[in-house]
Amino acid sequence: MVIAESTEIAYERAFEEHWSDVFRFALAWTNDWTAAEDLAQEAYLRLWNQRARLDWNRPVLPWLLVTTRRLATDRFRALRRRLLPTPQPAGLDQAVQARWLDVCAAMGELSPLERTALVMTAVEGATYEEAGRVLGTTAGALRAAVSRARTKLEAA
Amino acid sequence: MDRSRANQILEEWTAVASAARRPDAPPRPVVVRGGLPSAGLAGAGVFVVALVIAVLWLGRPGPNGSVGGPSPVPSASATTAPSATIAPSATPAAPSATATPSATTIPSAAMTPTPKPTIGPCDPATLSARITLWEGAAGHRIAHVELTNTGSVACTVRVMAKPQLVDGRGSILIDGTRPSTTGSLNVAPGGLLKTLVQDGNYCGPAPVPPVTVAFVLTGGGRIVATPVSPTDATLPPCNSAPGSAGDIEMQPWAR
Repeated sequence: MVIAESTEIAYERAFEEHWSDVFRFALAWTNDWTAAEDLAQEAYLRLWNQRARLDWNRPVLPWLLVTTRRLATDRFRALRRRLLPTPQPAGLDQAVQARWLDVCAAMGELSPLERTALVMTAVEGATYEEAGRVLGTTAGALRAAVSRARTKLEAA
Repeated sequence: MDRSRANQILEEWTAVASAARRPDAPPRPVVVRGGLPSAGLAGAGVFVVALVIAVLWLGRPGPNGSVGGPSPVPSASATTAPSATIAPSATPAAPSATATPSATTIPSAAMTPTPKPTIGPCDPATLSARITLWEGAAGHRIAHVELTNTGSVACTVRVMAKPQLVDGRGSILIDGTRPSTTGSLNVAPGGLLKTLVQDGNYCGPAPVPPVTVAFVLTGGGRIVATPVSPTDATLPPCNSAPGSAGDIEMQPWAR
């Protein structure tokens, strides 16, 4: 019972501390506001389901980000995103929605890896090695992806 | 200050992304409670011990030739998460894109000595639907709909229904077709299902708001979804001759 209680508290703390990190990661990967919210929700459901098996002494954010990436690359989810139009983000005021559409269009020129590598390193402050572990690739590949991303954005 | 175009976009991305609002509470799966209603984990343990003793006494070995410990025995309570198979994971390698067995989805009647209760079809009166979002698409509109079991018992919902686009007076603007797909989902009390309803080519007269969607259930009954707003008049554009029929279809209900 002590284990169950402590993992519940750890789960809630992980939600409070990292939800926005998970959402931004998902947003960078998908470039889709609604899909990012869904992915964050699903990643936390996975965390809930795995809470008894996790080593809570280790940082949970990498686990959440890897889970989010794997969920995002699920082929059925990816297929659905291609078939359905990009929805407008619900719950945002009109001004923010308009700004999002502009940013979304610019970032839409990048691949998911390029976008996420750029956001993780330039916005979140992750090293290439840290980002590589989450994205399942090498630091060198990420450097190249970030370079391509910047070149594309300069031309956007 | 010379800011590159890339940095400007990134700054704007960061600013907009920060407008995201965290949900009020962390998500948890819906728990289907049942079985051993008055007994907790301790009661379940007593039951398991009694079962083991009974098997030993009868001289019957278990499926593997031995009467097992606690690990292969599912918990009698749907909410008892920790199991004897806890394996500390030092790496974040556990998640996969496929469904992960959940401690909260163990069939509730698995350990009960009483017969498994039959879950019947949901009473439409205990189902509540609402549109959470309309999406625009080329020539179509797509409604995101949530269905909640507001009753006190688990029940089943057919995964497909006949969708309709209706207006504030209840007039059917676009009528779907009766589904040929069968299959149903169990919905726990408070449980939620989701679907997408896509409509297109509405060439009729201006409707009375609010516009919403309805579902004619295969087993009888009809559910009208709560619209996005009392004044919502989301309609797909008319893409053919005035008066021509529209189209509407739904995806299967899913969790």
